[in-house]
Amino acid sequence: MENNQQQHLDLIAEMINTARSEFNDRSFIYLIWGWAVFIASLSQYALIKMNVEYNFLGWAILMPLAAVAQMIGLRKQKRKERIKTMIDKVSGYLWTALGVCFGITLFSGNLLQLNAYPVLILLYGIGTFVSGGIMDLKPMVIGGVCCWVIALVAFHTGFEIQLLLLALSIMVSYIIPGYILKNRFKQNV
Amino acid sequence: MFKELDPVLHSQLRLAIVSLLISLQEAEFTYLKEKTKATSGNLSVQLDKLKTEGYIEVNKTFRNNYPLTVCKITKKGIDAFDQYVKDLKAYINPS
Repeated sequence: MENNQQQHLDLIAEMINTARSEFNDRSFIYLIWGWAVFIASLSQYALIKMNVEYNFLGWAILMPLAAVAQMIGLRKQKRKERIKTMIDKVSGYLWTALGVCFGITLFSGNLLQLNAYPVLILLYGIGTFVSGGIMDLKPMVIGGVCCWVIALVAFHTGFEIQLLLLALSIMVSYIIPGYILKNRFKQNV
Repeated sequence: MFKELDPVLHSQLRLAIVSLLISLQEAEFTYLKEKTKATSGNLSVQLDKLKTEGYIEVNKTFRNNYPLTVCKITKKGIDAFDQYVKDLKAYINPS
């Protein structure tokens, strides 16, 4: 009898262990925004160096494109998903909150004078540090920490260098961990 | 004196289903089938039983013209599961 009860407890533990670490593949979102910000920041740097007046052109084109790509990708992905998990829910709330913060920071960027980008880097750090932690993805956690170090440096540099640091921060926190996450899902299929 | 274990949960498959759903927001029929390794027929019967007892909600819709069954645990199901685990522990480690 007791043996039977123990089997039931083992079954519960097994099923909970199976389900609790599950989450859906959202690596494409990190890659879309990662590459969009990476290209936009480097293009702005290049355009400033070429003395082009509208040096923010990359942002104006790539940010709306990334938003549309994310919406399409998310709709497509959700059709394939068989579960909804707490990790997905927490991530959704986290990135929505950060998205609002990105928007407010950029909208009020002139009040920060030349320090809007270091603030963005700080926010990337929060998002990727927490996301990496809940997904148990160490490279993303490390990327988040790197963002904070980069932000600290960026506050003390000129605008052009900030653009390069922004590109670096997005590479270590979104792009590289994004590919690692994508690969992890590929291996599990 | 031992408390009688909840007969609804004291079945391997129903317990496995509830244990999975307790950790998820919701899960599709195909996911539960894969993780519990049950047959479709058996899984359907046990889901109906859990639904009748009010332990889970079952939402049946269509996706791309294919039937889609999505299951979610209810408050009653969570409470029953908590109680079941407590009772089970009392059997194994009587104080």
